[in-house]
Amino acid sequence: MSTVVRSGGASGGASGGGLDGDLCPLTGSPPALVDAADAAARAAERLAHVRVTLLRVRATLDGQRSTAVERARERVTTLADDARASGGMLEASAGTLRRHAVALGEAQLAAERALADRAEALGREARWRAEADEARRSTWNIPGVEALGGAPLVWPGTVPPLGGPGQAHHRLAAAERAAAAARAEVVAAEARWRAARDAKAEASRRAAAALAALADVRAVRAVTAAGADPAALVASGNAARQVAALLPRAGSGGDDAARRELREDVRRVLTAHADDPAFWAVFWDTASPQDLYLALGPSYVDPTRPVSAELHGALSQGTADWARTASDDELREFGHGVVAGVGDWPLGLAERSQLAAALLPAGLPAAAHAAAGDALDARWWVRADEEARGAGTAGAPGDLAGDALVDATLTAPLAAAVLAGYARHPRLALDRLAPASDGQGARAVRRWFGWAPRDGWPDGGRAAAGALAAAVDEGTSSPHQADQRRATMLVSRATKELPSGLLSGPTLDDRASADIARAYEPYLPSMGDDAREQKDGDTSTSRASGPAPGIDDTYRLTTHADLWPAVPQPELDAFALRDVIAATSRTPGAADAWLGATDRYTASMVELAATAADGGSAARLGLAQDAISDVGAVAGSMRAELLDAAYDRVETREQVIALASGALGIGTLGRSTAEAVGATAATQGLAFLDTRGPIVEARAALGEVKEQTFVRYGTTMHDLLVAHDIDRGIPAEEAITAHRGIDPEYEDETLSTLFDETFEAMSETPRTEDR
Amino acid sequence: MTQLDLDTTTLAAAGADLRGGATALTGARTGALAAAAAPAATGDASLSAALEDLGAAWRSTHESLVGALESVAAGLARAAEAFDGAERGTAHDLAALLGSAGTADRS
Repeated sequence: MSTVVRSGGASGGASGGGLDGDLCPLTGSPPALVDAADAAARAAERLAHVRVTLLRVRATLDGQRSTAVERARERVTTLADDARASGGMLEASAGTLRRHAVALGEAQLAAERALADRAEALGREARWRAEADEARRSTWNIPGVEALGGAPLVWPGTVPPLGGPGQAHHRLAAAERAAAAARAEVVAAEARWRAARDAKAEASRRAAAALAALADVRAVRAVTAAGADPAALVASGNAARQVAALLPRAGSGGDDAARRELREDVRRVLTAHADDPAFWAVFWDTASPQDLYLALGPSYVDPTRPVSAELHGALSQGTADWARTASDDELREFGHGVVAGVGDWPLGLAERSQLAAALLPAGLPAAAHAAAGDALDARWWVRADEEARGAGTAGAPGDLAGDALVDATLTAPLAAAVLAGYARHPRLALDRLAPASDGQGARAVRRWFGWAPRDGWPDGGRAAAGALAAAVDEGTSSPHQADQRRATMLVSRATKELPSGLLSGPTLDDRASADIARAYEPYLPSMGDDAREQKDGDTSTSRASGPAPGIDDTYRLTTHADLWPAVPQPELDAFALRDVIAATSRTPGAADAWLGATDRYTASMVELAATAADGGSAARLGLAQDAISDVGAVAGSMRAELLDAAYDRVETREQVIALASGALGIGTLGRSTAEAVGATAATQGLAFLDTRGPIVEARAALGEVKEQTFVRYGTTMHDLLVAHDIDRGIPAEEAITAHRGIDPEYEDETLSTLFDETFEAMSETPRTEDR
Repeated sequence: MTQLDLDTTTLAAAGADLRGGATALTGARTGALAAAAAPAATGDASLSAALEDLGAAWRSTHESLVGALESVAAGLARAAEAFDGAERGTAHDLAALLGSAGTADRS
């Protein structure tokens, strides 16, 4: 994916890059190398100082949020990162140059000594040769010497007389021995020179390899981003290249035992380098996802489980490390490759999908998840359309069965990874799950939420539900109404698809259920109306009688005041909604998520009634009625025993009020209300505001979960509003009288009738799961 | 509007720091590494080639970094000048000056 400029061992041998003539002084200038190293180190120090300055400038931008400030912060951060990477490269280069200068200096000194020794030995050799020649000439006229083979005529145990023929022969022999010794020293000195030359070449090779590793800009960035030492790059890079080179052999060819060992080696090396960013920077520049699947995918030669938790973790961490320095184009290419690489062959597809999922950790940048999601989406529609054509059905596009469902089930781990990525990147989630084009929106909802893997999602539906919640959060929190409307349409469409799709499998994980509840929370205001309007329809065919997905642009919070909901409200198929709530509130933990949503909603409506309802008591009553109606719709969809269990965990009115007050956060009402309630109860003798009084008494008398729910929420709203008025200085009796219409103990049944209507509409129709 | 923690003197000094860093980086690339890459210095053709490759691989990063540092340095200098009369500016003002100094965003 990027150019690796030069691999290690560039000199190709001990003397492959040498510029040295035979038996000449070794070339190179250690002082020049040290000077260069010093200059590089000074630049690195300067860059470290620059980085500190940049971080200080960035810190000054911390206090304010705006597009300009964010952009400037991002720019300064990028500069600081680049300064650190460049500084790291320069420091490591300086270290390499210094080490090489020392090695070069030592080699040059050794070579120089060897050459000096050789020169001295050569001189001696020449002198002894001359002496030998002279001695030889002195023996030329001695008779019989030639006949005796040149041996001197000397009796054993005697010294030849000076000037005599024996003395001349002795000189010759001694000179020849000395010349031979000098020759041996010449040869030894030349050997020392060659050793010095080879030592220099080896040092040059090591230095070149180290510098070649530093030339891998991405690897250096990855290492410095992780705060590691770039000097470790050589070993990491070499290990990465070696294991990448092993992948094809681990995938095919060779005998079974050898391949089994290779697969084990690959797994071991990948796992061992889990925390080595330099390794992964080089590895993913060399290998592709498909290479990895072929090498480690299921194989008859190797019964080992392809993706252990340890390997999964190493691959995820390594991919994340690589991604930190990848461009958007590279991330897109990688994301596409992760999906395309798993191939079509059904055998082993599930295991390859698990490997692919490991390569797509949720924290990977959005570009990778976008490309992976698009590739997976295209794969889905090709198979769904093929199946529809083959079966000749006129069913809705995207309805899966047979081979297409098998393929989707086998690739579910990969789909879950993509959805987890969507959940981590809310804008991507909104763009992909609620595209701006209407036709595409319906397709997207059907594709991602309109089905479930045969055995359920491997993560209990957490990624799918998280992606839905993230998309809705992104849309509802956007200042642009177009985004808000996309989120609204997403929930409206999803409500139709979820009961027969995502929620048709095994019960969702509690966190997934909580995310579904979170996705629906902005749309609680219209749920009561949806339930009431659909109640009079044909309930025996409830699903068919529901409204088409859409947006209710006319919806107001109450008819008594011009109050609009915070976000556009959807047209909801009330009975499909009931199925959604029922399926996502099957456990106590999941039910708590929905009750938490209704608590926050009730509190927000009370705050609105207390602070923004200019329409007076009629508007307040209207808001309370709307809220209690909505709460009835949600609670009616839940199982009675779970509501009962949830209420047992909230025993006193104080806790209910505290819950609501807490939900208000820093709202105008919340801070003072809880205190006001207690103080008022103590000073005014208002028994019903005694927050220590147990709700359980009223509940025991009423006996029914429906009434418990009504009393719980009705009481909360009433108490908070009365306390708010008292807190503002309105006499207690006046405040109580003003809110009698929403007092569960005194009201004229309008409130309870509204609650009953929606509660019963949602609870009495047979549930999908019961039908 | 949040006031800056840096006064104009500090802004000017920060700008000078960044400009000095850009200069040092330029020198490091064109001077130090180039000098080390000479065969007379390394005494080895492969080592010289490796150093030249290193310089080439980092060239775009360094050029981009030098340009961006000079650009931000110029923005800081302008900020120091602009805020001089008012003693202090806001983070938004500084961001605007840094943003107008050029583009350094990587894709």
